[in-house]
Amino acid sequence: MRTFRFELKKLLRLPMLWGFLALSLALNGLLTMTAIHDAPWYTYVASVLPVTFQRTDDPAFAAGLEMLPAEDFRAALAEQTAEPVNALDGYDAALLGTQEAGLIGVTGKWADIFAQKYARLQPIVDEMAASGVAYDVYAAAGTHDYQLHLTGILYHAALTEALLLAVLLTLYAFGCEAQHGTDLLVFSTRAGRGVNRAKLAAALAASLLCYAILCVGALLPFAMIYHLRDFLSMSVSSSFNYVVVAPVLVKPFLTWKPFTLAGYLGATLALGAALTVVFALFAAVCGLLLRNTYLAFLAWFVTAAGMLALPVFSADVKVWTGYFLGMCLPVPVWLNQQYWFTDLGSAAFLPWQETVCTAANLAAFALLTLLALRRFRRKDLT
Amino acid sequence: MRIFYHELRKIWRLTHVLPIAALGVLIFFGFLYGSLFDGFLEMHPVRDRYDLAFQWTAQYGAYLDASEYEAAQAECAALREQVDAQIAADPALAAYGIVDMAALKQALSSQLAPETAVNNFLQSGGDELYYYVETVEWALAEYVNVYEHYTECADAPGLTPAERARYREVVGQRRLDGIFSGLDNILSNYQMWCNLFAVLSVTLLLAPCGAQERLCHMPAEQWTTRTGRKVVRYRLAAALASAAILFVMETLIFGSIYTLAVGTRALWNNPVTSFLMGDILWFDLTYGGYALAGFAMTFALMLAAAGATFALSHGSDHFIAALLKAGIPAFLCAASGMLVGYRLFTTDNPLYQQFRVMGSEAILCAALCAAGLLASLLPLFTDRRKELL
Repeated sequence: MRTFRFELKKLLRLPMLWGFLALSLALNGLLTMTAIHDAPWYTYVASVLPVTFQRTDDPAFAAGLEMLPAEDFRAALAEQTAEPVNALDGYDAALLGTQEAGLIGVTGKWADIFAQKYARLQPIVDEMAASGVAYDVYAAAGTHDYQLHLTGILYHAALTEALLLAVLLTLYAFGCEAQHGTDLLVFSTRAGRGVNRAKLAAALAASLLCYAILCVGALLPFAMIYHLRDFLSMSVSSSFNYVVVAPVLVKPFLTWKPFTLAGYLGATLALGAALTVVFALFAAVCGLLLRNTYLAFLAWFVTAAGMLALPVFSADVKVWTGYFLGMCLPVPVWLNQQYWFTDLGSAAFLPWQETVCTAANLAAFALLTLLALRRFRRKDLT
Repeated sequence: MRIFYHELRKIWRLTHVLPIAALGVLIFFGFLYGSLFDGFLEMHPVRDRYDLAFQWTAQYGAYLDASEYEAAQAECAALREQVDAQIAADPALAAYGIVDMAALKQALSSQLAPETAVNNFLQSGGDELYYYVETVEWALAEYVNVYEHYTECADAPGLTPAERARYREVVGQRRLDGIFSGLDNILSNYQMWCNLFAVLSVTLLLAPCGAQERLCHMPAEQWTTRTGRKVVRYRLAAALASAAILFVMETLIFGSIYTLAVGTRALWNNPVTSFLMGDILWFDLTYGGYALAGFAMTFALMLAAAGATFALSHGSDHFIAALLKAGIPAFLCAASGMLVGYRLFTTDNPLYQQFRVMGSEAILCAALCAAGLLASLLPLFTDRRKELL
């Protein structure tokens, strides 16, 4: 425990860590302000919810709206909700699957596997349609932009910064001894070689701490400016929310289970934390296998770039096994963060792919890290 | 000179260069290969537009004047007769009353075309001449219509005075007579990703150069002598030379691949602003000039990243600290490279849309380059009198 505390202190004393965090928070603050021109609309919709409630198919919604003072925003909201739409009612998931498959041109056995995903989505869509969650007003016509700004821009930036910090902190943890010239002294005993466990634990703790700071630092200002609290009970599958797949294909936000915004955010934050651990373990493997910290970083960076390039190149040459399995790697999971817990379109062949793959990556990199730790225990350092 | 050479050797270590080269290969196959070799360039009418530009350049040079326009019209009429004869000779199409190009065009646009007969005709070689003639006819119509179009654009509301003046200049001085294949998204995509890799490669190559010195406790040895205090100058020169070497290598490699794949070297002396372009450049540049402008901006961004990374690495005592610091200018330069590379010097460029200043892309690159180079001079001044104690 004492070694863990000392290792953690070493990491948290890195001055540039706090500088990077400060700059990241500043950047996230700037990103938060990019939607400020829409803030009056969100404020208005949030303010009317106590009177209208959230279901547009409920007569109380229109009645509540009538009671409010006449103004442009009220007229716009009334127009947008005049004819309540249940975008999930009668929605053909199989047709969507065919369209998605056609966009990338997937053929053969992978086309069948891909189609099965949408066959399993259909009953969930039907259930959500029957429950009426699609009638939630959310932010009315501003819903798509609100969700995009929250999860697609702001949280994505915070997650990216957290992942980068996790990698650099982990590499620093394992390269610390070499930097201070104590590596030959520390690693000359069995107990010394065991310090790597404390280093790993400290790196994971520091990474999760940075992730928490960045998420809170990003979401708190957003919540204050854009009234996030008032929208937390809204369904993310509201008819006003949609995903633009292609200029000719727009689909509802189809999740594998009904999520309110609160539940969706919570699940996203939890999965983001798991992904941070995956990236930290990924960096730990590189840091343990390569003594030179910079080479370890280069190895990590090139491998991460390879994880991004593999599915894209596989799709170009129509090798669908490489494409779909490549999309399960950690970096593509990060890239598709904006659509986590949805069908993920042509980027996935499994239900809950981001969750399943993150769990699998966690197990895989945990195993690799254990193997790397064992190898380091016997490594000749001279 | 000897110190410069050894500093250069320290930067260009194989263990650092090979991963960067691997990164370049991954970026090429991941993000550039598809746009060049996935068949888009072989599709109609993209292929026909390029073929037309090459053909007319070979026949008429960089511009199409009035007499050459008439010759092109006559040639087009002769080609159309050939297409009509090909269609008339196809019994499957004739059975549906499609006996010439006009009829086939009408059938295709009405969506009532007999799919099997039409597909058989097009897939058995009929598509080559049909789509080429269609492109030539479109180009000949554009030669006339484009001046009216930009005359209307000049009077559109919401334009800046400079934009209005540019449209009027282009119309008034017949600057649209040039022959060019158009700036499609292939070139934009290529420029964006090449700029990204350029900035990444120079940052990754130079990030350890200053931190490595501190890790090996070199300042303690070097700062005790006058020559030792000047070593940082040679290191800076080596860093900037490395950026230049990387730029030359990447331009040669990526530029050659693009030229071989797309074949637009033949249009080097043609003006980019053309009746075939669908847009205008804010400046009168040939394709060669446009490419060189793009290269210059890439080099400016590389120098900016190199200078900033050098200065920040010099102030770091560990690789991770150097990477954390270098990440900021690298992100700025990479983001700028992506923004600058998208349809450079046109109205679609995101930077131009934000600032509405012609040449804002070049201004941004120049400003970043100046800032990076100024930052790189900081270690020269701070190291001169720094105490080791």
